[in-house]
Amino acid sequence: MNLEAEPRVFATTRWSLVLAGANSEGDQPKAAEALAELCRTYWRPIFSYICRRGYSNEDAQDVTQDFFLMILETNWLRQADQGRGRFRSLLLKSLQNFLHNAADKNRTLKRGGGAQFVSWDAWMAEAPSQLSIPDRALDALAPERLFDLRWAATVVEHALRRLREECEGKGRLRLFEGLRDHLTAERADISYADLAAALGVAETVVKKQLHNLRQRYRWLLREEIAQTVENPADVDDEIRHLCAALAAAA
Amino acid sequence: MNKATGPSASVADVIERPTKCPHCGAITQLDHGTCINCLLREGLEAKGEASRETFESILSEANVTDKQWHLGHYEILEEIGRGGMGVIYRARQQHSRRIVAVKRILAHEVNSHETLVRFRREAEAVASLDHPNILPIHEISESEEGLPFFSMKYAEGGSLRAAAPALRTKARECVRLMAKVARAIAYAHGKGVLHRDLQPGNILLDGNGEPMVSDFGLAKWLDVNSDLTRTLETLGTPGYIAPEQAEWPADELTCAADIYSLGAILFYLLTGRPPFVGPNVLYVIHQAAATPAPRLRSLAPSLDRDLETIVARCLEPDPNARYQSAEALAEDLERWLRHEPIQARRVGVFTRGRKWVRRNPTTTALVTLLVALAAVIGVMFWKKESQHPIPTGNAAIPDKSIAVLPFENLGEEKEHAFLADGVQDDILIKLAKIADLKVISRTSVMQYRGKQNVREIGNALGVSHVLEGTVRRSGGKVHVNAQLVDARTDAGIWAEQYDRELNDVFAIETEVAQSIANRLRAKVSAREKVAMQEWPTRDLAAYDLYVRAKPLIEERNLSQAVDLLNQAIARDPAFLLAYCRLAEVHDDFYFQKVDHTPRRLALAKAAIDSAFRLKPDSGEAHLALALHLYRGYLDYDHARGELALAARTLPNNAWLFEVTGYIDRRQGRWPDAVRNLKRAAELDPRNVATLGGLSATYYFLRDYEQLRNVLDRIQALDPANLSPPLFRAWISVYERADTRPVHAAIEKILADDPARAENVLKETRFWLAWSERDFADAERALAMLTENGNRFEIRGPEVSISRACGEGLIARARGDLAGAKAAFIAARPEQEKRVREDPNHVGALCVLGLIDAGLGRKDQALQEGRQAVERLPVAKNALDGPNVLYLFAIICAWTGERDLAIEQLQTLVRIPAAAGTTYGELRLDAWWDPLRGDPRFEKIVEEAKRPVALK
Repeated sequence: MNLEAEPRVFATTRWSLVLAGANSEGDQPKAAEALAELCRTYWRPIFSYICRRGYSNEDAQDVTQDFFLMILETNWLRQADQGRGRFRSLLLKSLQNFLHNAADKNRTLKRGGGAQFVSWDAWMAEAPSQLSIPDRALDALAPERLFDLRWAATVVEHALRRLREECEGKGRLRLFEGLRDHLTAERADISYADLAAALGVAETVVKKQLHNLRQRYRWLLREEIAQTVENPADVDDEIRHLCAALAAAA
Repeated sequence: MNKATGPSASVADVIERPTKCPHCGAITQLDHGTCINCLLREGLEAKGEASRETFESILSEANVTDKQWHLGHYEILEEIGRGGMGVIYRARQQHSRRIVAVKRILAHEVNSHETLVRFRREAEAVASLDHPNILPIHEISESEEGLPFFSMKYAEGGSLRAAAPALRTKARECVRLMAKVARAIAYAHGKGVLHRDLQPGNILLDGNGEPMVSDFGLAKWLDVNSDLTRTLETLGTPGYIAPEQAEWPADELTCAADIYSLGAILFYLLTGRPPFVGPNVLYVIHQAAATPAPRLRSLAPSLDRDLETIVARCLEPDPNARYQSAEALAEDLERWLRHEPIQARRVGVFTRGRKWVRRNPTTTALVTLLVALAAVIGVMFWKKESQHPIPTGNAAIPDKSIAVLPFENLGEEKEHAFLADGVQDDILIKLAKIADLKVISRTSVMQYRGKQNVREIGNALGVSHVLEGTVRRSGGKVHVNAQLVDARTDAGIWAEQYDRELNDVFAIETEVAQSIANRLRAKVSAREKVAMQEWPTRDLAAYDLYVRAKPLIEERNLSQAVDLLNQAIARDPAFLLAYCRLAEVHDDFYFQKVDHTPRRLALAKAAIDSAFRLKPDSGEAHLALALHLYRGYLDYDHARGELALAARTLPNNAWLFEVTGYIDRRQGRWPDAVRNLKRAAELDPRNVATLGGLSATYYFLRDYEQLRNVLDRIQALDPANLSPPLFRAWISVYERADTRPVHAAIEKILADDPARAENVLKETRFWLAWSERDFADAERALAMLTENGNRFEIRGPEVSISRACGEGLIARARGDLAGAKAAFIAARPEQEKRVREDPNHVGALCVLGLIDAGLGRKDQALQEGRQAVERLPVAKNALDGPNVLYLFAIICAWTGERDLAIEQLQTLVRIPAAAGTTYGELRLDAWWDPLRGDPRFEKIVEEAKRPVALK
């Protein structure tokens, strides 16, 4: 099989759109939207990294905004010449460069003007931090590890949120709420009887629906990851990388 | 449950008693105690997934429906879409069994009760609209959680966006539809409701293909602090939003905004794209604000001029120039349908109508509606659009001066647009070679694309003449119109039309340049004559590539620029300018640390060598070499030499003068520096960076009158920049030791811009408190400046102090010697480490000396200070040397070496760049206290009132 002739399977993932947009002008509007969507989803790892690098809360907010502006405003991807690859790693690298350059900037005629443009409370409220981690582990983490950790949390949260929305769209929110904590549990650990009683359905229904939710969750999770890589083959690898980051926190 | 500590709070919640996951042992969790690692591992392959259909079908089997699956008395059937801030369902009204659409606001989109109230009020206003082409709202109600929803007619035909492709070829049908929409909008305006978010997605079609406008007025309740996520959601394609919506607060918009949108939608229906497209949201809005909309017929040539005129009138950047009512628009559209003459006037190319001076879009308003903006963008981006008449600082405008404005591209093909830029560029370059002419640099003129108030332009740029033109390429031919206008009288004094083969375009450029030179009666030397006749290249395709590379460089898209330039060179290996530009880009890669490697430098050098081989005395090649030496090697001496050579043939190159000025300054040739920077500013009057350099220079020279002038110019060019007013306020301190204006400036910044204020004011707060001996405030400011272990640069990047050191300074100023000592002891180890780790960092050595002086270690302090001065004397570096000397003077003062201290100060007050040796600072700075009363010191203070005398 001639690999070069193979059409890109994930032509519609966001990252692929962004990459396509980097190469051709016609693809740019879609690419821009895709990039904006990606940024919108993954701002938290950026913010965490910047905080961890020592910026105060307010400064980190500013820098985060500046960074995203740079990404969204300039032809970021075309400039990031370091070959393709994953959105996550490219973003981190750009962020590191960005912070490095920011420190060098001459301040004499620095920026001025411009109001607070993001209601941070609203933004944070929209995507509340659900990540919990022991104190000493947090301090011991290198910023890059924290970035990956946050990224992993974001991916998972996002997939769960979509799952929730899909259930809600079908009027099965209660079902979701009841079963969500058991998505990864082993059979042996689940009390089907209790769940059945709580939801008011038969045990067999619980088993079937839980299985169903799991299947869907997996699809959504892989889809989330896929949005940020170029090749389908990379999804597993990306998941493993993120797992490794979580292990480092142990 | 979770303790939040410092910055960690925003990073993650912290658990007090971590629990391990029984399954995998990891300790990171999501809120509900679920293990992230496990959740992640679930995603690894070979475990089976479910598509949405499968999932939903199985899900529906479960008889566990949610209780609120009824909203009010509507039974929700299915979700049909998500848009704006909510979800839309198809639903059935219980009693009547009628099918409707229900829109519900999602919980997390609502961030205040106030928003809800406003939403409701708005929805009620809209519900009162009763028009056949407005989607009727049946009912507004609230769900059990108190979240509002409303029901409306269900539009079976989908939206205009979906129908658009089929409509593209049916112009009359499009116009018919839009005329109805315009009437509907007119009705709504009559009732005082603006839509504000008209776009194809909001115009629905019922079962009969009748248009119905929906989502009325809802854009209004987007909060002033609307957050990023929502804005990105709602404004996927900003191409239909009137440019002033990005500039004015929501309350000030008029119906003209809706009219713009109507025009844009019609444009879209007829051509398949909105008037402005771009790689990102920001770009599009900027284009819409800055440039006239493309002509309809440039994209759809088969349409007639009347239709083009109608659309153009809707899309005027100036709201006052559009149709003044939706009704007027509807009437013209209906006239067109009836083949009657329309009312809108066509406006010609060289006789544009009213000019509308745009004020600088305030970032506040822009951002509330769109993607987040920071002031950095404000400085770099929007400043180009300022149209304020700027005091040029020139008394008289010379007769033989000209600005070559961007040429307009009249062609239909988007790809040919670059040709117009190429023509302008080459003419500009040719004219710039004439020493007897003053020719404005490209940077300053590019900002005038599409603008035509020649008198204002002439005034703003300080030129007496302006060249404008148009270029149209069709097939293998090119048509160029050029017109020379006297900017003082607005009279055209020369015009010419050229209709040639495409390959002759370079000849046209030469002819134009020659004609201009003639008209202006410029003295052209023999060598300049020859230079004007040179063609940049023989290969038009290569030229095209070269011209395309320029904007890429400006956009920082360096690698693609390199590609294009290499291609150009491949086509024409004798293309000198391309080599020079290529070298410039490679050096940029190096300098900006994108590729800070010797290989990159070698690439630049290779290009420069090629350029020299082609033409040994080429000014551009010398300039490229100068840049290479300056940026690649910091070799100022040689760079300066090359610049001098380049200046012989590039008399109007602003950048050349600017860099020469900086080098002069560094090497202590201050009069030359001032002269060169002024010349640079004259040739490139809208370049804020150049003016910034000039302002710093005047500050160093204590020439406050000139400094004020330049600050005024900067402020006029870039009103959003907070530095000029602040700097200006400090002049009062320097001149008269009067700190009150600084207080006033701070108050103003706090009032105008509270969110940005704290950041920008940090340093000023410290120095203000220090000057006023308000030590409590100084400590507070110091704490903020040194948060997170940051260092505070007290004398430029070379000289910085830690918090402990700062506390020592303050304590000593207070008279608390014990406290000072303690602080200096704390500061010393770190400072010593810095010195050890980087022995070349002379500033660190001085600060160590300062600390030692504070600790009473006289000999050591003096030795360190002396060493520092020896290693970085003023003679070697006229910018940083004085700062080192300054610290040494403080060390002397603190260690009781009065005479020595005064000797240093006597030197300092007479040289430029010695920050801190102004009258006010000498008077107020506490570290000079040991010297006060000494008549020699007082004499120095008096002398500091006057500007530095230049030899």
